[in-house]
Order: sequence, then structure tokens, then C-alpha cells
Amino acid sequence: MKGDLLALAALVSIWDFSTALAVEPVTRHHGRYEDFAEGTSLGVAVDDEGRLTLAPVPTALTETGSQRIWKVTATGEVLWIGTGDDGKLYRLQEGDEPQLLFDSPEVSLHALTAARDGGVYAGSSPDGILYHVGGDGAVETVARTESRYVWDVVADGKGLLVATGAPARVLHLEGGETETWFESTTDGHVRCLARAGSHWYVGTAVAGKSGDDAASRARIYEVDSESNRLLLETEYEEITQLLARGDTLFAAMTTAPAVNEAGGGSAEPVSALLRIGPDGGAYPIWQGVGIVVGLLATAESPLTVVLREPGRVLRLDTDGGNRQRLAHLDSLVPNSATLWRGHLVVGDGRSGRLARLTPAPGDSGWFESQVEDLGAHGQWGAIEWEADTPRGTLVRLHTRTGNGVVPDDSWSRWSEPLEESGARIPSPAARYLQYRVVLSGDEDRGPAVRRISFTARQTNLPPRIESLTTFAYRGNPQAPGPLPPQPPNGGGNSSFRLPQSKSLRLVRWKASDANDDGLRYRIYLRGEGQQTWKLVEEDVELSSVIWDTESMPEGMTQLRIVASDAEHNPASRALEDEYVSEPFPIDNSPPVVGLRVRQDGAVTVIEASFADQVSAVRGAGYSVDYEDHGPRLAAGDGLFDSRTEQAVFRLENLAPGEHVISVQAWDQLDNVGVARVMIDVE
Amino acid sequence: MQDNQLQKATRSRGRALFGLCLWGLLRAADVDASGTELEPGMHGYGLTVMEGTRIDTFGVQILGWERNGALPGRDRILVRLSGLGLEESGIVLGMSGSPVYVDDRLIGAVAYGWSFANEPVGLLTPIEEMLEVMDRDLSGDSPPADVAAPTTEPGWRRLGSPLWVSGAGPETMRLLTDLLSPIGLQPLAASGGTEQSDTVAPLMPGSAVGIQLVGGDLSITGIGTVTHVDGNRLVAFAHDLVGSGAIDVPFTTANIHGILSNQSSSFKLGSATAVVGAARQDRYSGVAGVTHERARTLPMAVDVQTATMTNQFSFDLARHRFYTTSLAQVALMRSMESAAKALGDASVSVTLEVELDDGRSLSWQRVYTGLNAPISAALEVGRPLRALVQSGFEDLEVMRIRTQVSVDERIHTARVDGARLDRATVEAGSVAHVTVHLTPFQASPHDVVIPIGIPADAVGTVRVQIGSGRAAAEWEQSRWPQTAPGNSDELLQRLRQPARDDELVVELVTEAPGLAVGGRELPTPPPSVHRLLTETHASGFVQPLALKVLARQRRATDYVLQGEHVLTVNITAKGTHR
Repeated sequence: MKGDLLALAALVSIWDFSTALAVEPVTRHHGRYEDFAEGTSLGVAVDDEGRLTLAPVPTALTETGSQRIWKVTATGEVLWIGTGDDGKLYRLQEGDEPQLLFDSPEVSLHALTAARDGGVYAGSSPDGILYHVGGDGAVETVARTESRYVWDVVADGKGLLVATGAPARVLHLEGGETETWFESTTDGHVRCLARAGSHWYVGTAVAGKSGDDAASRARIYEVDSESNRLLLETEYEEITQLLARGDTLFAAMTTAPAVNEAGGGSAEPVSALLRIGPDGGAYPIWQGVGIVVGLLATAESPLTVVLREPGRVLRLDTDGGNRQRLAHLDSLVPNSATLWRGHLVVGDGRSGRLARLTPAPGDSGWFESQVEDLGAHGQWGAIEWEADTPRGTLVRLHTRTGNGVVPDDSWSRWSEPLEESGARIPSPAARYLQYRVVLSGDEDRGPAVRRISFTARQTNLPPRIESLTTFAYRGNPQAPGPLPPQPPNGGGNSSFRLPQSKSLRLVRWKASDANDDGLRYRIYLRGEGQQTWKLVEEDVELSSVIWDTESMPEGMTQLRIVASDAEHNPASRALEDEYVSEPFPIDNSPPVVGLRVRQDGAVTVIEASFADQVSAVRGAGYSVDYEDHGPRLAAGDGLFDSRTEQAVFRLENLAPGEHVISVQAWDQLDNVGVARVMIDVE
Repeated sequence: MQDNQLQKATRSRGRALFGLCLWGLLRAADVDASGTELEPGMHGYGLTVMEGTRIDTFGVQILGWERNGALPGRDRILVRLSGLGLEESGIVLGMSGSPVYVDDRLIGAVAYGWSFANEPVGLLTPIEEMLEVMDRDLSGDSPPADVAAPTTEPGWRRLGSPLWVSGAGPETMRLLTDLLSPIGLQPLAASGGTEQSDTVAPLMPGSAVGIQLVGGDLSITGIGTVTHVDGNRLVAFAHDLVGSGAIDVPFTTANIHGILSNQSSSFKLGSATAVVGAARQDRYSGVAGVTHERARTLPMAVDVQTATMTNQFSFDLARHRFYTTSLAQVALMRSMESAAKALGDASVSVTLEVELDDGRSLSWQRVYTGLNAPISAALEVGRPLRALVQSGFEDLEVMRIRTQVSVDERIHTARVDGARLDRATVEAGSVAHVTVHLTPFQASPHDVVIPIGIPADAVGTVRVQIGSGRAAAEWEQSRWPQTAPGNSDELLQRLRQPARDDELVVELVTEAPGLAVGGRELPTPPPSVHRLLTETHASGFVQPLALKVLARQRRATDYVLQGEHVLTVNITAKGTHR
């Protein structure tokens, strides 16, 4: 389930509102291939121009009863089916039930190719056996390859070429003789064979994940009876398909991460399609998510690509152009494909079912968009489309909305069909939307949808201030990092001071807006004993300021920050949030120091008193005759923790003559008060 | 008048003529299918054999009802028995099924007694419950149905049916006791054997009857008493033997040699005489079957070869999911004990061959050495047999068992004391040599050199494991934990995997992601195939494997091997080549 959610979540299109005003209606336009690529469809194709047109509809062909289909191949009117995990061979003829021709002792039949006598050659795993099965069901073991897998078999004039895995080899069988054309200890498997021009090509796959660079890359070799050479080393793990057209080779390759053992999601498989010319030059003509399980040339298209994860059928030109997603195969996990009686036949990798696509488009079909995410709850506006609708054809749209990322029972039902472009989306206000396009036509003609646009506007949600802190600013103005540019002037003094002053405070808050609206802030002050808030700054864009409190009245003070999204919303819909700080002291005056001196014989006794108007006295010290670092004083009550403190200290053995005694005291905000007294020791 | 007769009868259990006359009077007695008219204080009589095959009578006084003793609706009749010396012996094991009549009506049969009781007070199973058993399918075609036997009423003891065993030595008896006592059967040594007979034995109410679990060169028979006969159908015992439901086991006539008094519970000394039919139902309220039909037994042949001779034995085993294996183990033990010995220094080599009804077969070999080699062999043979007999696969039916045993009265064992490779680094595709140092028991140490081919596609650091075939089987189990086999072929394939203690095994193992599908290993498949097979939408069909065996070599030795060693070797790639 988790995996499903992840997969579905990946299909959600999130609108970027960072550059849009949430309150303003936003219109999204779908008119490119990419806009429709993540949607699903039945009987609707998406072409390179971003058009939706009627397409062939996949229909169930037959059911073998096996656990999975590994290989389908056709000879004339006969379709051969190789299965797993029971290793069976079926023969199917139009209108009949599949006929079990061979129940092998093997797990899988991966390779099938027609024999001249009307039978078929079948390659198996895990014993790597090549069988010949006659049309009458007579079975003969042609070769035991001594590999664990037979992945491909191709007729070559009088003989057969057999591709094997574990170990990777290509065997040539002719007249009862077996010759090894290719053998690799670096590659794990030879997965596929193709002949282009006068050369044979083999595609390999890695054997598990060895961690060895050389053994972690799939390769394409050119082989013949005399020699072989490495043609291409890829960044992928496996060459899954080779197709020759004239002297040009097309190669499908994939990297397929292992499924997480814990059942969680794993990375998506990715694939690429390369065109390799006779000169060996290779360039990609397609890449995307999935695993290519079929690569064919058909009358309708130079390249037909069948993929799984997700299941779909693509058409491409040989240069990768004119691409078309012909069909979405939601109900299948395609595992093998072939052409049979003019139809594309696909075998399922999760069941014994087969489906087929007729070459001609059907007379109706639908396309469902991916889930569109407004980013927040919102109102849906108009939906319009551009379409070619020849007489007798029709385009209708349905919509549905919901607030969960996965369309389920919590979503609204599909709306009644919208037949006029520009109609208002009838589904309820919500965060997510999906639309469905239904095309109707007939055998000869169908509509083509070129563009779909829809409009939405988020519901405005209030901003939120989560925290507010303020403290005396001790920072080095040269330190890296942004310096808040403009302190509030705190009561009319507009002179700007460099921020090394001890009267500076840093005020910082954290705020957000669910609509991603840009916020502006107002800053208010309220001093000790005051009843109303005084606006000291407005239209602040940043979420911190440095504040010079030098000219502020001293005493316990509070700050109030108000956040507003008014800049991005009309006044009637603008919303605010506020946050009030804890009381904090503004104290820019030093403690007052009082001194009394008395002489007790040879000892000079100094009694000091300290008083601060706002904050507690935090310490005191003295110096004699301007010495640099005099000793600190102990509080008379043992602790400097209140606005009035006292201290007494004794000076003994002062040299006769004049002495200057200085006493300093400092408060909580490091304001320093000093008093001095001059004494004359006889 | 009957009361007087009963009183006379109880004075002497030797008055055969009187008993026969009484039987003549009673065989036309009605069957009481309701039992509701019984009142405490009523008197009746019962029939049983106390000696030979003669049916004697004993007195019965109804004491009351034991309601819902073990199961709802399963009432029992509380009685006091008298005569035939029962006042001294108490109720005797083997009387199970002895019919009891009141007013000429069959009301039930003796089923339960009380251990250490001062007087012969017991419980009867009402006849209607026993008739239900007899009315079940007795064709022998019923699929074996396992039914759980209810526990006996608190304080009461099911009389049980002593299993009389003839032809077994002391170690065989000990093994038999160990194997069968958990299912409530008590083996006792007896003399005499069994003969097959097509003649219908005069089994009648009160006759001693046997259920033969093993026939042939060993006889194991549970003996009880016939309760009721209807045509060729009969019901006996008044309780279950093991409560296993539908069965197909030979019924025999039985000869009672006498009564052995015991403070705990006395029992009849007896033995089977002739197979006369087949027991087909073993239920809580009795055992029912038919005469004139043969049970489908499982033939087992055992050849025991010693230094001087070969002895052949044959047995017929009752077919049953739960105790056939134990019976085969006992038969094998009996053969070894008879032809060779059961205890002391010995080395035993066993080959078990099992034929299935569809032509498939299993061959299984093991070797044992030491003081308890025969008992080890007998016990371990049970593992593959039990796996087959209890598999539950519809297409797996054992038709015949053949066991060949070779006994050498010496110990052949050796320690695997060390191993070394000829090189620390080897090239893929080459051959490495592993030298294994063996130290045999009471013989000179020596080395065994085993060449092992390095696969051409191997690369990296590889583990080399050296040990016995049994150790290799354990490595394999660790590498590839076996889930329940999916079909009978898979089961047979697993049982065929060698695990001989006298084989020396060298194998190369490396880390490589693989899979097992349907019991077959798919080593290091391509990524797209691996991904498809391990998708999480299905469970139980595909098993991930982390290790791959690159190569394995086996070498037979003359010893049961102990000890194992692990080395590592670095394999360098051979490279792409023609």
C-alpha cells in the first residue's frame, strides 16, 4: 500500500505558486506531450504534439492459468506462449483455447522461436535446456547448454544461435554440432540476439550486483563464428531488447533496482533506447521510466516499444521523433510482446493472461489526467479545451476533486459531462483535481484535443507567527550572514548608528503562510506601565530587525509583531496573525556607584553602594592607581542579583602618599558605572 | 433364573460348557438402542474370554449413569462387575468391548476401569454409540480422517488394549515403547505369531479380537473383545485404539493365555492367531470393521548384512499417517537386533528404498557409527518415511519399503582436523586443490586431496567450506531455508539430496543475489527478471537467496566424518575470451 501511495504521489502535479499571487486565479495549460505523459488512458493516444486522439483499445486475448508469461512469439496463424513458474508451452490459434503442448520440468520458458517443421524451439531455466517441440507435442531435447538460462534463440540459416546466461554464452548449433561463438566471464548473461546487416549482435546483462565496475555494465558485442568485439559499454545494467532494421540496430537497456525486501518502495526502473548505426555510432532516441519488454517494427510505426512499470505502448520514428503513447496498459504487467495476425499481443508478467491491440483506433476512449495539486484548498474555475471535432465526433470532459492525494471514496464523483469549452468546473472546492477527457468518433474519424486549460484560486489562509525572540545584540557587524537592514527608530530618533552599540537588540521571529503569500510585518512597542501599543515600524519584509534602544525609555518593555498577507490579497480577504513577546528590559544607563572611605589604622576601608534603575547589578570591581585589572568585589549579601547591592573592601599596606581608588559596577545589559575617590596615606 | 445362572457362572470361570450354553441363549438377545430404562440396582451379565478362546460370563450390577463425562451427550453406565475372579483382579485390560446384557438386551460394553481399585467398578459405553461406529463406512475407501480423541473422564482410566508384541528383542521393545506410548499404546512382550487365514473365524460377542499393527516377522497386536456382530460387520473395544478415525488395519482372532494380576491394573495375556478381517473405523466409542476382507497393509522388506551372513525379514505394516513410520522404525530395529546387535561398537550403513504407487521411488542412504549406531539408524530412517507418509500430497502413496542394512561391528569415524588450499589466489576457470587432513579413530592420520574446478565466470573473494555430507546439508539449509515443499516432486527431490556422514564435501560459496522458485534455484538472474520475480504482490512462491554455490565436490570415505573448516580464496577474472 505504501508503495502505491508513493507511486501515486509521484503522479501528482504540484503547481508552483511561488511566483503567483495565491489570491489571483491561476490557469494551467496542458498542451504538450509531457503534460499528458503521466496520465492514464484507455483507447486514447498522446502524440508528440501533445494531442489526444483515439487509439487502439487493449482487449483480453486469453488466459493460460500459469503464474506469468515469459515469452510470446508467432508463426503464421499460431501464437506460441512460454510461461513460468511452471515452465509450460502453449499453442494458441484464433478462436481456440490455449492448448498445452509441453509441460516441462523447468521453471520458465524464456526463449521461443519457430522451427521450420511447424514446431518451435523453447529455451528454459534453470537447467538451460533447449527443446524442440513439434506441432504434435513431441518433445526432443536439442541441447543442454550447461548454462542456467536460455534467454534467446534465433534461426541462422541452417542452424540456431542460442543466447544463455550464467554463464553468458552464444552457442551455434548446426547438424548436431555445438560451437561456442561467444563466451564472457565478465558479463552475467547474454539476454538477446539480433542480426543487422551481415553482423550478429548480442546484448548482455549483469549477474546480480557485483560491485565490480566492469561487471556492472551491460554491453553490446558484435559476434560471428570467427571473432567478436565489444561495440558498446553502457551505463545501464541490462540490454533487454535488440531490434535490427536494415543495417541499423536499436537497443533497449534498463537499470532495474531490486524491490525492497521489506515490501517498501524501491527506485523506479529507468530505460533508454539507442540507435546504433553501421559505423558503430550510438545515440539515444528515447529515455524514461520503465523496462522495455518489447521492441518491434510494425506497419504503423517504425518502432513500437512495449514497457512495464508502468505498462504502456509507445511509437517512435527511428530518430526518436513523432513519439506517441499509443496505449496505457493498467491491467497488465507487460512481460513479452509480439505481432500476431496483425495485432500487437502482450503477455502478462503477473498472470497467465494475454491481451492484444488492434491496429485501428476504436470508436471511443478516455484519458485521465494525473492528479493536479493546487497546493492548498481552493476554488476551481473554468475548464476549456481546444479540439478538432469533425462532424459526428465529440469531446466531453468530466472532473472530480478531493483533499487526499490519492483519488478514493473521499473524492467527489466524476461530474456530469461538460460538453462546452469554458464551462465552470462543477466539482466541489478542494485541493486536488483530476479531469477525464472522453473522445467519441467512429472507425473513420475521431476528434483530436489540442489543449486543455483550467483555472483555480486558492482559498486564502491566515499567516502564522510561530515564535518571537529578542536579545541584546553582541554580534560583530563584519560577521558573515545577512544583517537586518533597518532597525526601528524607537521613538523618533532617526539617526542610524553602527550596530556595535550596546544599546542594540536583535528581534527575530518565525512566520509562514499556507498560501505561500509574501508577508509584511508591523512592529509595536509597549513600555512599562503603558496601556496601548505604539507602532514603531511597518511594512517590514524580513523576519528579523536590529533595534537601537538607546533613545527608548528605560524599563520592562514588550514587542508585538503583526504579520499580514495584505500585499497578495485584496483588503477584504487579507488576513493577519500576531505574536507578543515576553517582557524584557531596556536599560541603557549604568549603575550609580557611591563610595565611603574610612581609615582603620593602617588599613583603608572602602564601603561601596550600587544602584541601577532597570536591571540587576551583575558585578563590581575596583582598581588602585589606574591598574589595568583590579580585583572583583564580592556582594555584601553574597550574590549580585538585584538592582541595589553593597560591597566592602579593605586596602592594607598602601604606600604613603596619594592614591586613586576606582570602583566599577555593571548591570545586566553591561552598562558600567564608575566612581573614584582619592586618598592620602600618611 | 438368569440371576441364578450368573451367580453360578461367577463361581468358576472354567465352566466352558455353561458359558457356551449361555451364549446359545443370548445370541438372539435384543440390542438396547436407548438404554434409558436402566435403573440402579438392576442386574445383568457380560461375556468375555479369560482363557483360550472360550467365552465366559461375568455378573454386572447397574450402579447409575455417568453423565457428560468427557463430551456433551457422551454418557457412560456405571457398573460393578463380579465373577471370573474380577473381585480379586479388578477389571482386566483386554476386556474392552465385552458386551453386557440386562434382561437379554445388549446395553453396552466394558470400556473403563479405575486403577488401584479395590473392587471391579467400571464404565460401559452404551451400545447405541457403538452401533453408530459400526454404521459408518466400513469399505476401507474412506480417506483417512484424523479425529482427536476426547480425554477420558477424570479419574477413570480407559481400559486400553495392551499391544502384544511377539518377535521383538529388548531394545526393540524399548524403542517401541518410546515411539508408541505418546499415542497411548502400551507394548507388552508376548509369544506366538500370526497366520493368515481365509477361513472366517467364529468371531462373536465376547470373543477376543486383535487389531494387528504389524504382522510378518514381528507381530504387534492390540487385543480387546467383540461387542456385537451383524453379518460380516462387527464392533469391538468400546473405546478407541488411538482414536484416529477411518483406518484400514487387519482384524485377527486372538488366543488368551491367562490373566496377569497387577495392583495397578490386571491384563489379559494374549496373542493374535489369524487375520480374519479389517478394522475400518477407530472412534471414541469403539473399533468397527468387517470380516472376509483384507486390510491394505504396507509391505516392508529388510535385508541385514553382517560379516558372515545376510538375513532377510519381511513385515506387513498397518497404514496410518501417524504410526506407520514408528512401526517401520521398530521393524528395522527388530531386524538389526535379530541379525546383528542393537548396542555396542558398530557402523551401520542404511539404504532405504521407497516405491510409490505411480512408479516414482526414493532412494536414501545414510551411515552411522558408534555405540548406538543401530538405534540411530532406526530413528533416522523415520525422517524420510514420515515426510512421505505425512506429506498430505494426494498423489503420494507409499506402496513398498525396502531397507538394506550393512552392519560392521567396528567404529569407523574420523575427524576433519584441517584443510588447506594449494594457492591463495586462483584464476577463474582453473582447478584448485584442497588438501584435507583426516584423523581416523584408532588409525593413522592421512591427507585427502580434492580437486575442485573454479567456474569461468567466478570472481572475487570466495568461501571454501570443507566438511561431511551432513554438514554440507546444514550449510545448504542455512543458505536456502526450505519452506514447505509445494508438491510431491519437490518433496522427493529434497529427500534425495545427499547428506551422508561418510562423504567429504568441498564447496565454493560466494555472495550473489539469487532466487528460488518452486524449489528450483535461479542464480543471479538479470535485474529485470529479479525485479519481476520479487514483486511484493505475491508471497510464498519466490524465495530470495543471498549466497550462491559456485562449485561442489564430493568424495566418499571409509569414515563417518566429524568437524568442518572454512577457508577463503581470491578468484581473479579470466576475462572475455573465445
